[in-house]
Amino acid sequence: MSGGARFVAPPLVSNRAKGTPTSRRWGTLAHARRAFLAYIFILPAVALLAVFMYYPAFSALYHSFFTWDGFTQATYVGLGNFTAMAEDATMRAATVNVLRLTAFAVVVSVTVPLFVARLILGLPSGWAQYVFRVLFVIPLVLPQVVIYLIWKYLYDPNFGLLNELLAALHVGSPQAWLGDPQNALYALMGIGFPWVDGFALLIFTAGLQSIPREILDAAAIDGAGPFERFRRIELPLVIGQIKLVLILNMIWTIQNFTSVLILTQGGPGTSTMVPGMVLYRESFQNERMGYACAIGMAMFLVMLTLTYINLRYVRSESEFAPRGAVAAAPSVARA
Amino acid sequence: MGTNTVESGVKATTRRGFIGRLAQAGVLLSPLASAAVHGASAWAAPKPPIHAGHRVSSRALEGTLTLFHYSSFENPNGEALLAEYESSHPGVKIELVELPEGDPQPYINTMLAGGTASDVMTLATNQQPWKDIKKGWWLDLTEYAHAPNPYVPGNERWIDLLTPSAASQVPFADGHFYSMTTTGFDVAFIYNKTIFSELEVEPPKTWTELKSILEKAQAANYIPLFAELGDQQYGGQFPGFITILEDTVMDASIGKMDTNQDGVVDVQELVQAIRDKTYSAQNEDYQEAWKLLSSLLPYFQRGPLAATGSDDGFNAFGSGRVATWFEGSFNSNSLNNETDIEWGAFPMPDLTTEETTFVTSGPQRKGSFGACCGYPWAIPATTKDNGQLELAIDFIYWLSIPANTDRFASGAGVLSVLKDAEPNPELAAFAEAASSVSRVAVAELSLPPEFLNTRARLVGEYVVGQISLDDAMTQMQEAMDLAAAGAVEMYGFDL
Repeated sequence: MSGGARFVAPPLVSNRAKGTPTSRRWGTLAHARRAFLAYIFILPAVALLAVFMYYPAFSALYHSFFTWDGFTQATYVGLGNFTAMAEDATMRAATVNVLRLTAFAVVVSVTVPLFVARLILGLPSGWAQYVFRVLFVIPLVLPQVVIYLIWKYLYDPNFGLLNELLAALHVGSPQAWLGDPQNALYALMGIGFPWVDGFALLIFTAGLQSIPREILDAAAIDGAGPFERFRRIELPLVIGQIKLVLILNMIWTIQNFTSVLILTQGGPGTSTMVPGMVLYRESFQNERMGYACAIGMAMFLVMLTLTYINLRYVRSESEFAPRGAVAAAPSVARA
Repeated sequence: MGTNTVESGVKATTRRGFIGRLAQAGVLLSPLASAAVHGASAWAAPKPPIHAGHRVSSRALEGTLTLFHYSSFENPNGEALLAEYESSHPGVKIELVELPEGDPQPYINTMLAGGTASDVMTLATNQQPWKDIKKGWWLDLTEYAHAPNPYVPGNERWIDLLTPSAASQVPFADGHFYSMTTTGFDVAFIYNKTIFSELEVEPPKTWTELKSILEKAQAANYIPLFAELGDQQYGGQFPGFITILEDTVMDASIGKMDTNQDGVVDVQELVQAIRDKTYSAQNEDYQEAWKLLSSLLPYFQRGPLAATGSDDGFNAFGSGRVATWFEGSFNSNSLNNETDIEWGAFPMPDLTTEETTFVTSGPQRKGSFGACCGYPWAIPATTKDNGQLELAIDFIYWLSIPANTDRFASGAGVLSVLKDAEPNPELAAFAEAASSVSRVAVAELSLPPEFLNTRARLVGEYVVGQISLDDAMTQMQEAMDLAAAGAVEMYGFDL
């Protein structure tokens, strides 16, 4: 098509339906009926989504401009809640803490599982690969709370395994891990050591497995060693998975306050306070629902911004190329 | 086994600890949070059924009474009491509404807001009905508190059944009753009898003696005092330490704050005192309480800020390496049934002029909770709408029979605050505390919860030396002013 090219809609009905004007009319009606049915079927899901997800979200946005206890009449305060948030020393401390936790989480959530996934795929036996994958994934079924409670006992300053270990090895002095403002945030970061997240591991394993064997073989023939192959071929080709894991971990870390609630309640002082914990306290303990909504909105905006930055700027020449889509990889392979 | 030698299979829990566990666990902790109360009872031997006596109404009561009970009836004593009430009221059935997993407060608020609340609700420390007065969720029970309990012969007013200390705590600042309670709880020093015996010491009567014991325990390589200094939750036990000390070192100020001279500072009086600086973080007597607590730091366990609740203390004390632990009476059943520790309890020792020049010459109070914080019975407004009020009141009156309250309290690990109570000897120290509660305790608990949360945080930071006293007091004063403003708004005080 050239010149006055115009968009031609794809046929709405099958060729078989093409024929007389009457039959075309019937076809159109049949299509409309099918479309109507499709909308009817999807409606309950959309309605539930709207009621339980979008309505609360928009309600939170609305109430972030009000003083509201969640039950009685709300009073409009404009940006008052946001101003209060900026002046709230606890929120400031919480913001710094969560940024540090997030920075740590995104680094370890990508590097460690990716490294382990690569090691697993390097095992010569398929059976061994399977066993190791399962071993790393099994902890996923454990409730997070159980894991946190185990770590709480490990960190116990008086009876915990970690201090016992230090004493046995004659290394350093016993620490008040979660009870020392200087240590507490790092202690929270240490939870889950060695940080092989089973979910990220599965994603990276799938990504690495989908890289066509031919590319890796070609690189090997060209003289690329294992490290070069990983750096120049595998890493760029799993950038899509890396972005996914980055975004998800970033969101989870910013939202998460379960570990803080169980282990430190945000203390000592505010050394482990995070915005999610402040939000929880303000909404359900202090009944400052309007302020909590404002915190929620701020968290949403931060997550949106970070996600946008991630999607916009974390890029590779070649994004995820499923098996068979070899054409996506040559430039990397050539490199 | 503790001092109580009666065997029991109760998988008991501290109430604050129980609530704390649920709150901490959140919705994710379903398998663990269900560790509530099961099994057989503690020390209460079966007693003969209580005679039905006179009822509120001459007509027979009937129907199903729903009861949100915070697990307080999930023990043989509680179950027996319910069965007896049903058998003495043939037309009545009691339906227990279980405590959900997760944080109970949003659940309760939702029930109340949605009009689906139980007919009778047992509330936790942090769910006093006072804060909901403006919401119209709770019935004003004043007329029933001032009416005779028909189940107690000769009683002229239900409130007269309570000890004077309890009777002064139950009504709100406006003089009205929004809950009726016959139980309380309080804090004391729980001690390991074996360690005390080894150190050849007796429970102390004064702070000087207390410090001497703690030093001996330290020298013997025990943890002298387990302090849950990281407990920042509203209604936490350890934060009550300061509340008790305040009463002793602020006697003169508290005398001025109690403008109606009824022996208790109510929340309205406290707000007024914050405004006119009688109760101020800048006052020396206020700061003295903090300094006294701080003087115990050398005896605390390593990393006291890491201990965020009674579970931490319970686990440590259960190890047998802790000499003393400042905690609540709710732990008694757990200590008896889940540990082999021989334990006892003593109330806050008296301060002397050796420790502080601010010490009162009058009696020193030992408690920081009392009747406000046992299992108060409150009745939602919907109960009246549903025609269940008469039955609900009858049930509360029936439970207020002293023998019934004793059994209920024993089963639930709380203390009867009735005049004719026969407290479990094991809990005598707690009962003593609950009968002489700090005059500012209820008022402090009635301020917006941020007040006590902030105080707990600042106390912790100050005691371990993370912040100076000046910094702590500057922030505390801000918290006081905010709390006073919040209370005025919450209760609609016209000051």
